[in-house]
Amino acid sequence: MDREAAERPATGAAVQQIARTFVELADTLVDDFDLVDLLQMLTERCVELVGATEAGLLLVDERGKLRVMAASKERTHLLELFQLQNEEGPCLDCYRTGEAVASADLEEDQQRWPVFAPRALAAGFFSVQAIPLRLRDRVLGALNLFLDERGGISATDRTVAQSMADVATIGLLQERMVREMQLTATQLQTALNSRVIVEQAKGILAEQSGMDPEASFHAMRAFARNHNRKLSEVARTIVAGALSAVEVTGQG
Amino acid sequence: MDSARRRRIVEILDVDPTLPPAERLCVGAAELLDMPAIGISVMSEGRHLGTVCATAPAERTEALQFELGEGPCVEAHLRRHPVLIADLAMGDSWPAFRAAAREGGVRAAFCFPLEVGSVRLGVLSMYRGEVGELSTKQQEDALLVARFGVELLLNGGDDGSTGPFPALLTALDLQEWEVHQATGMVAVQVGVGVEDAFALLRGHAYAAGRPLREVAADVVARRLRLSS
Repeated sequence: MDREAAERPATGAAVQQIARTFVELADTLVDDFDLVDLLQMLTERCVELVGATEAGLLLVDERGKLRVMAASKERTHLLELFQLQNEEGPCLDCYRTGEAVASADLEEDQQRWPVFAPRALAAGFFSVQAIPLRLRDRVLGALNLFLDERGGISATDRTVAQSMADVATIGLLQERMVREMQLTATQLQTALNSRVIVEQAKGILAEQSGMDPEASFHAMRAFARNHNRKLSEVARTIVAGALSAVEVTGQG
Repeated sequence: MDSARRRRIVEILDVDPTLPPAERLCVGAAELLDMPAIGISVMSEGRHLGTVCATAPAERTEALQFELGEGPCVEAHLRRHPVLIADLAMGDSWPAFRAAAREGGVRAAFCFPLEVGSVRLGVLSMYRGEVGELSTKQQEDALLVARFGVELLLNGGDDGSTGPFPALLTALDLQEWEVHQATGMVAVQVGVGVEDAFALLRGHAYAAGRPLREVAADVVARRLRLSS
């Protein structure tokens, strides 16, 4: 990466456009947050604002594979260029290191990425920039910028792109946190409901069999184990009247 | 809400670190809101399952909601939004609760549901011996306390034991679980489903002027049988 791209003139209109984009991005984080919208907007705006030709946003899934979440154009050749970066390429390097990765001339960097570089060149791209989606030590993926000329993007544009990626990262982490909370809440609700039903089932068995609730509970649990069923499911069946003490405890 | 105020609120809510988390939140909330009677209850499917924690002045009224199965607490849970009653003498909903609450000197009640998305976990309640609305500041602070309440319920599982949410489940009084055992027994005794059995149990307790928990304990100990 020898030749830095020249800084582009910072026109008043360009600065305003950047500011407006940030406001829009921030808005999506607060109101009616739509993740897909955010990522798509980010990717499209990035192309306009930092002088790239095309852009793609990749996130890592539960299995550690990078997946394309948004692209400035829905063109097969472009998507393929993103997807193959699971094996090799600036995006993969960026995700692994958590640092920005770039090539100002893909023709010179073919050794670096022997599969990716020729494909990118064949698609008409001569330089590339990958920006990490990262907050402290959590790297969620990468923003991938392609250019149809050599030089990559300027330092200023790189800063703008990184800031936009940072906004996206915060949104993604927030969404993840909300989802985790909802999962825990659902688990709690299930635990409470199950507990009520187990207690009710204890009472039913106790009355049917003449055993005390404690003994009924042990019988219910043994029955569940012996029949490879979950305790809460056996309890539900008892409360629904489809299973009685005779079957569970042998008494009554 | 600015960050200095938020920090101050967190300080107040954490006022006595020697207390277990639930009590700490209730005591801190009572101080923050200037409302001595605060309680947090767990609800499930329209049913008040039990009180996780309550300051002393709130205990009786929290228990009432459990006993009677009606009141602003239950309402806030069912309707998924705060129920703020500045004067319990005005209005004719939940007549049993209103009467019993006023008997105990409670004149106003404010209940905030504790939810995560569509999952309804419980209710934060506060009671007052004087008629009057909550101030805007109190409402804002109550909503913040409610968020802490949600966290409390979600984190109520970390005490090293096995099974999901053990600390929370044991915090709920054993007697409250007995009510569900009694429900099962009554269902068989009378030959009805558990929902009807629960209603019968509650009705019996109310008619006899006895706490639901005591009646349930009698049923479980086989000192009492219900017939249709």
